[in-house]
Amino acid sequence: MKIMICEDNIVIAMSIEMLLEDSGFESAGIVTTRTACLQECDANRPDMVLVDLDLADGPTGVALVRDLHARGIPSIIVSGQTSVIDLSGSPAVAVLEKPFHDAALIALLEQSLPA
Amino acid sequence: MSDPPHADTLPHTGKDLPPLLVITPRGMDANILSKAIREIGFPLETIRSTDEIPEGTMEEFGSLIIAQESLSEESLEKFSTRLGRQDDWSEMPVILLAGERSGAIALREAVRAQFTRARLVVLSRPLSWVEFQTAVQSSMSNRLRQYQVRDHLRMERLLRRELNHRVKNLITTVQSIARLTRRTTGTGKDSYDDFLERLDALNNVHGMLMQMDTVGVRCDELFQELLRPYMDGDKLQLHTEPVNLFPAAAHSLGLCLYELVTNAVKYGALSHPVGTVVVDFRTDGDTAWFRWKETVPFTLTQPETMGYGSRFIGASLASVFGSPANVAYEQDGLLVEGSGPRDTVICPPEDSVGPTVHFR
Repeated sequence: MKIMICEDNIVIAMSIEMLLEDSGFESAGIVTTRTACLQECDANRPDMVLVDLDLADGPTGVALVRDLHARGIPSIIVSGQTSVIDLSGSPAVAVLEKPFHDAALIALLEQSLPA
Repeated sequence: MSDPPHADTLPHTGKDLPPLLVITPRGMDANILSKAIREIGFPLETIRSTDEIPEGTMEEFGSLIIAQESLSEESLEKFSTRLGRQDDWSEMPVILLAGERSGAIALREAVRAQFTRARLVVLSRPLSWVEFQTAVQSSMSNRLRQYQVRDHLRMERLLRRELNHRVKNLITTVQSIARLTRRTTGTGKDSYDDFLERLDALNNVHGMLMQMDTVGVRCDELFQELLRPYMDGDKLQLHTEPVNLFPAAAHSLGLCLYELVTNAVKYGALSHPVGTVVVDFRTDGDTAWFRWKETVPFTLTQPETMGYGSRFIGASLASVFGSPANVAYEQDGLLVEGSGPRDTVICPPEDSVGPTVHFR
């Protein structure tokens, strides 16, 4: 299962990448903007994208989740702003609030990915 | 009696003034009141009854001027409910014009209980032109002070949200450093020291970014500040342009530099008396590029496994430039290079960047 990480804090992104690898998932790379994420997804389609709401090109995460949904790529929102941004209409398959435990992310991925 | 102050004397620009809402069933009364209000420079709208007040919290209106005959018992009750739905900061100024027969005091006593969220002034008819204008002016000044309170409350809420977001991100970053350190160096004392060193790096970079302009971070200042402790003689040469980096790019580059220099002190060029490091950050047309080249007087061997440091350096430069970085263990010393489009790393000049905070 290839998972792309869209997160502009490189320390957080790297730790998620290592956590994924340690848990048997494959990283499809780290991207820091909505534009780069969509380009990467078009070039090398992942099975899932983890999306932070606030990215290097601004608060573009919510729109990115919609773009990904339109391409048929599922996403999980991983953000510290989940309680202050209205995500009720978002097509994200799950929402994980930062900071999070390793096990919480892995459990969400296991539930969300097709068997 | 002197003339009442004109709207222009209030501390704001005329075009931003909220309109008064004049509520009277009689067109002729509306005309006379409008004339008195316009004479002192305030915008206004007229309606025939309180039932016609547009839906919402009435935030957009500066004051209400209500003729007693526009209020039936039923509409009085409805209007009282509307007053109760105002935002916390709002206490709508209301000038109530008593009928010639009822008298101002009797009317005030009659509506006081229903106008609990209003700043009520009751005037008797026949009205004094100047007294009416003074009441309007006073109500509008009061409303503008309420708007100031509203703006402060909104700003505070915005700042609290931002602070909460930053704290959560910071905790997640510290958690991530712990996770990465445990993954790459285990759980012993070295691992603990590595963790603390990385926290220091995070703190230093954060402190530096806070001191600098939030719109853009001067690249040459950031590099000099971070590398100053290691600039002993000619061992470390720095060539950077005075360009403004985007804050996210500055953050990642800062942490990357910290990792590079720590690594050089422990194992690379700065661990040896004759080793040197040359650091470049330059632009070339539409491209920005970074280069870190160490020269060591011994033969460098590539580590068997890629540790936190090398991975971090590669990943952070890739995130800054949007394309993979080159991390090469050359025989004469480490070489790290990254490059990408200038406008993803470097801010446009400050005067072309608009404000990022807006008020309604």
